[in-house]
Amino acid sequence: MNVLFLFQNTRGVIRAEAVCREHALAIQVRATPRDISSECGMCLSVADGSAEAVGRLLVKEGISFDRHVARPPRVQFDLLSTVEYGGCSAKLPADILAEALRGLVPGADPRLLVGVDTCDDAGVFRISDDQALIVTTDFFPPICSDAYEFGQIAAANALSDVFAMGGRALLAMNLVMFPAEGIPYEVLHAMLAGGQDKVGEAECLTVGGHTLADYPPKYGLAVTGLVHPDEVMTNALGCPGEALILTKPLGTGVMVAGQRLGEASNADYRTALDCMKQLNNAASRVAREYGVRCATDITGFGLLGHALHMARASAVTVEIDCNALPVLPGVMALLDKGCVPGAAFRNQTSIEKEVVFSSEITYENKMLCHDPQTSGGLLFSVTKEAASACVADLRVAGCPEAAVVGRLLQPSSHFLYVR
Amino acid sequence: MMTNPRAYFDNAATSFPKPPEVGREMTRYFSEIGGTYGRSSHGPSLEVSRMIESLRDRMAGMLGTTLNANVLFTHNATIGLNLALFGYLQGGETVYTSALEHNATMRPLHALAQHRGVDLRILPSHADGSIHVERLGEVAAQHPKLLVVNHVSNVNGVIQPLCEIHKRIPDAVLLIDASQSLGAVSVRADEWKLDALAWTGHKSLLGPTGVGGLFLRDPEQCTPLIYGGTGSRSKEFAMPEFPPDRFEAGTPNIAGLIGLAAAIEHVPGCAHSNADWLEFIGMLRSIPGIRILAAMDSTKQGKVVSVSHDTLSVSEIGDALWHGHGIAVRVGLHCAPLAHRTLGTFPAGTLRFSPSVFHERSDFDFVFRALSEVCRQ
Repeated sequence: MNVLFLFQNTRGVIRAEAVCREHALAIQVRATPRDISSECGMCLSVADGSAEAVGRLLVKEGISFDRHVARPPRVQFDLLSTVEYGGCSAKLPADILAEALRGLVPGADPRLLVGVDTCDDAGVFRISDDQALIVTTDFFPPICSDAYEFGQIAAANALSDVFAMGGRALLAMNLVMFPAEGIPYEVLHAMLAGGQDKVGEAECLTVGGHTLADYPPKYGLAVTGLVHPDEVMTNALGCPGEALILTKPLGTGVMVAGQRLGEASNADYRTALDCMKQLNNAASRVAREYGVRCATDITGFGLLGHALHMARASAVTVEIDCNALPVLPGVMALLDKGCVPGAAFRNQTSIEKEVVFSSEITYENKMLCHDPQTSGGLLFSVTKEAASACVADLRVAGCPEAAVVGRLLQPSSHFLYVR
Repeated sequence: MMTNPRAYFDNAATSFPKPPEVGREMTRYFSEIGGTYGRSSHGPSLEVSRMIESLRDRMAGMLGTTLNANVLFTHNATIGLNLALFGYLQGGETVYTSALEHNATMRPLHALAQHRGVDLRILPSHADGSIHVERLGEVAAQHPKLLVVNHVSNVNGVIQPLCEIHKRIPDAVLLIDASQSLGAVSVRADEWKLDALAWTGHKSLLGPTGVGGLFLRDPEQCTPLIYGGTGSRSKEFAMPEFPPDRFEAGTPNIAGLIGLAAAIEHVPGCAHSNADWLEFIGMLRSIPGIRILAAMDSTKQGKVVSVSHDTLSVSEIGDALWHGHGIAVRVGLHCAPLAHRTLGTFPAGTLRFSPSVFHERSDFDFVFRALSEVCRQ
């Protein structure tokens, strides 16, 4: 929290600014908040840590002042004004990424339980017979206007990779790219506060991070988690005959695009934001209770993109029941109006050779399957006998839209069928 | 028209030329910076506020005071003098002035005598108008509330002994008119115990017109002259009690203050010596029919000198100098009828030479030859 130093007149502000700068104390001249004083219109804003030094210096220089604690930032800054594609829509197209990585040999180690070859959400490394580290990172440009909410969503999204591997989040580091000028620094504070709140909710510790001056802003986390080596959930452990469960409704990409176009209702948009802020820790806990070993989370490559990773790694065919897909309210109407994010088309192009749609699948439903999700739900397979009980438990655990959305089949000519 | 700086000898009215940086910085304000003083925290206004407060600090240094916040900006010395006189004198007080005062002092005092019953008297002086220091005890005995002294006369250039006055009349408020002195003659407000001092930016400081100021040692004893917005205590109708806000209502002459700041940052060296100047005055004495109005003690001579002629009127001489030689001077009473009464040149007035720092010895010689020629005809 910042401390505000108020002075009786302009001369006081200018003198205080000058002596603070002479003594290399970081201060900023700001308009005095109206709820604090209508005295002089300017004040010095000082980070909490330097406030005492500034106060001592001003007393020494004979500059009289009043001290106030700044209220939480009320700076209105629309983060969406900085980006064209936000959230997980900003991912590089999967095929380009695959091309770029071709020939790079990441190294091998018998303790590496999950590496890069299965397109999993995180790496898993065994450090003892009963413990393995989960290591992951995720960051992206703004997905919403409000900085605090963006921080919450970015953190929930990054933490989700640990939960998708069946683990518990242990340590988090902030990855921050933010311009040194042009956006009030209260916005950065709010963004970090949103992230911190989610890290805390995940019972994880923030242990630092890294910042870069960069525009547009980007934020996310590098997260380290822990998992028992025998309980790691990966893309590769799916078995034909298992049921597929999705824990959050689809459509965040469509809803954000609709919001930008002014087509989305505020209530629907708020529902989508709340969905993106939701942690996947409870869903992961339920999956563990059911002995799930094959899981991923749905993000920028959309439902089919991530399902394809699972199909390939497990050498199965994934069948999606389009009618069973949970969808955020308002999304189908937006799709009907042609509101499709550009990344959905990129996802479609990347995987179209691998997927077969039944003839009755509508264009809107196809694009829903390709819609890039930001902080989407978990997709995992469970024995078909346990599926309905598992869904019931998920709904009790805070995933009211959880549903069985398909099944794993014996491998066939295509990896993906949508019917 | 292009004024010839070599022949411009009316610097006591307003100095010419100015350092080139003055116009340059003022143009930069108009075309690049913008913004006002003390009303907003956005970049342009913050920058302007910084520049003006920095100038205030510089001016305090020039005035010889450490009470920087008590250096008030006004539009000129006249407003500063009015502020001090109307601010200190509430009615019935006894006030002394020097014998060489300008109407910037005499007219407000005349009005105060008429409307507030102020009792106006003149300090004892020598023939050249310089204060008779040894007789100041007589003045002290009258317990005057306030003394006004024109530091350097705008008629004959006499430098008044400011450092002697407070010692002899310690209880009076000592108000100085530094219009002709600041920038040309040393001013030590704290050392000399000056209580108030009005100055202007466009004469020896080489700044633009429209900026000046007033130093007040005890601002709480002075009421404001102008009331209005200050950017502080804005919810109240009453003026703030603290300086400088109490006396600086309304938007200041920002461009002018920026020009003044540029002027005092780029003071040129004086192209002539004081000996050159005193020698010039000596040469003027040699012209037949010319009477010199100057300090009797040449160590008390400022950069102003007046002349009159036995037979020619000063307006005739002034016209001949301008039309025959392109030399710009001022003729008449110089808004200082009291000084002319003291010096015996009322109502005819005098012709005044006031050089700038840019003048060289050869320019003085040029003026001497021209005046000699005019007086021969």
